[in-house]
Amino acid sequence: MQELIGKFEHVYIDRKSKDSKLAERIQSLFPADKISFVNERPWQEGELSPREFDRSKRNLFVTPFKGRFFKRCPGSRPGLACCNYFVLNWGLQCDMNCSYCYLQSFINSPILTLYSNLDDALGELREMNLSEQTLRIGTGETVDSLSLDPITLYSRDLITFFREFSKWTLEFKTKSDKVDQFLDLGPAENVIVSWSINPAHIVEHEEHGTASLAARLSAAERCLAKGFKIAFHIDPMIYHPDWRENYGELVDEICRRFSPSDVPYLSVGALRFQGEQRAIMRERFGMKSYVVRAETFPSPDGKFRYDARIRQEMFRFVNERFASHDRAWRLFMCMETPETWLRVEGVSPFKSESLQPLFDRAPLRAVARASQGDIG
Amino acid sequence: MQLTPILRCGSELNFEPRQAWPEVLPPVSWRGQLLCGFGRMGGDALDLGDKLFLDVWRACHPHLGLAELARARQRLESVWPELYLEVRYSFFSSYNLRWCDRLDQVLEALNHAPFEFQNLVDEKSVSVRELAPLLSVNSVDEIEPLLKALTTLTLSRFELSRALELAVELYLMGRPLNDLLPTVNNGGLYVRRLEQWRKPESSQADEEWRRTVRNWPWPAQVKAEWQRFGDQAGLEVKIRTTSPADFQKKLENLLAIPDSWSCKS
Repeated sequence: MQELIGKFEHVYIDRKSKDSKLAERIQSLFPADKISFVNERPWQEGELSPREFDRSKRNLFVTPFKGRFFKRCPGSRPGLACCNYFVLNWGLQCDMNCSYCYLQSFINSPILTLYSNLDDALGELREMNLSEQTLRIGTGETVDSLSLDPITLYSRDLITFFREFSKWTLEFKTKSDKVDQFLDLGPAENVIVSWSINPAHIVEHEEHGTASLAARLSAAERCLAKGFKIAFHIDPMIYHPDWRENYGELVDEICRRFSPSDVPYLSVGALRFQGEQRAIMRERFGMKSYVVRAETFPSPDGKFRYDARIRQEMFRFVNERFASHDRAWRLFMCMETPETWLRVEGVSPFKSESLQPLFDRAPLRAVARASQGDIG
Repeated sequence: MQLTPILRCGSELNFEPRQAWPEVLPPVSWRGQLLCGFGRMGGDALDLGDKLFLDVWRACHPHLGLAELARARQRLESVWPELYLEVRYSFFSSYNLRWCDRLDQVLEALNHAPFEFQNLVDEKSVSVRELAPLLSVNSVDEIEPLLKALTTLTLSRFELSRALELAVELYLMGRPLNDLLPTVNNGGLYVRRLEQWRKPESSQADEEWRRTVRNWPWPAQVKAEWQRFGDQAGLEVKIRTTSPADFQKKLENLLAIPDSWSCKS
């Protein structure tokens, strides 16, 4: 905990959040001279320079969120095979520092923000009256689901809440190893703890400030031992000189530690980023980064990606490596085109029997109805 | 309305605007400094020191390019630092720019670029975002020969920003600057060469495909070429046909192509 607290230079608490559980907890954890109560967010909003972006990771702002918490995953764009994932954002910005992080082109907030009104988010979900729909909801879109959880303890509130809604699945997605703060709650059938993973070499080279691969896999083992469901996302796959060897070892390590029945699903995805992100990545990480020096091209959704053939080659390699261990491993591709699915899997995700529940459009229609089409 | 002899006015704000102040108008001064007509040696300036600075400035310079703004910002900050801090948001918003750290950094970098490059930036209306590569090098002086060389090429705005980004990235990847200087006047060709260097694996693969498909058994009057379409590459086939029977025949002949393609894939 001291290491986590030491990451932050200062905490600003919006006076409107003063009486929240989160503000109380922060006051109990941080030294008083690191905390200020403010009427508005420090620093102005706008396109962030690299130094402002770096500063935004070292300062914390606690405030209530005023908009809609519940949104559709940004993968749901025309032309991509989307797995009907929804996101619940309780914060903005991340305390870790991956070279490819899409937040570099996404956020204009000058400070890591934690929303103090998680209860409102849960109320929003409850009021949608969708308890009979099968929904998959993640909390790791604009903030890592668990890296700050020892401070917020939001995982405990979320697990408790989701136990009421057996048809919904909650997914925590993280690159940290911070799981011990909720393990005592015991498993919930519909809660999945998932890790974005990459070979140890890539973690070291591109995923700065994250838990090591070994630490992430050990955290997954601890969750599994307590009865929690786990999942892995090999995403984003990064093309580099030894990619075959490194991704091969990663797959072997997963298969050595886990069996297909331990992991309900695994996703793979390849590097992708918005064009606007290139400059800030180049300035923050330099041309030694595999991500910055990658040979990428604009794809139809506007993001930059590796050539389609390279993506297919990487996906096929990982797919086959898993299959060489056990054919029961089930993989799906994240933010990919139906054409890539056909080339790699030989079947459209919408027609694959094993993946059909993930790509079923019915939940999407139900949520759109419940929120009158306004789901981001 | 008050007149002040020009010789009694300072010209420290001379940011070298691209357009000369109209001869028929007197220069304008504000609190002892000329805001325009900097080259005039004699006569009087119209002193508008009793008006708001921004109002007078905007009236004198309703349209300015990014490089002109970079120079103006530098002069203004050095002559009246407190005034600049007070007005910078409104100053830049008059030119549809939002003052922020990022804008400040780009303008500062642009100030260090050769004057002919600055003029090119204004001539092509290059945006703040397109100039971001200047922030990736330790000092803009390092790439001065490149920036000067870019001004000698025939380039569209897109080609200029693409060339700047590619050349800076290649330089940062260790390619000597001398290698990166253009040897042709054609901007399009220069950008293509930089693209090939920046993406050697894809370029080589595309080139190999291009050569391969040329040798496939294409029917007469069918033109086929290996093309890149963003993150995908593939065949573009053009068929010239004169009748349904001719069309049918060509399609039948084309059926041999997938075999060649499958072998190569």
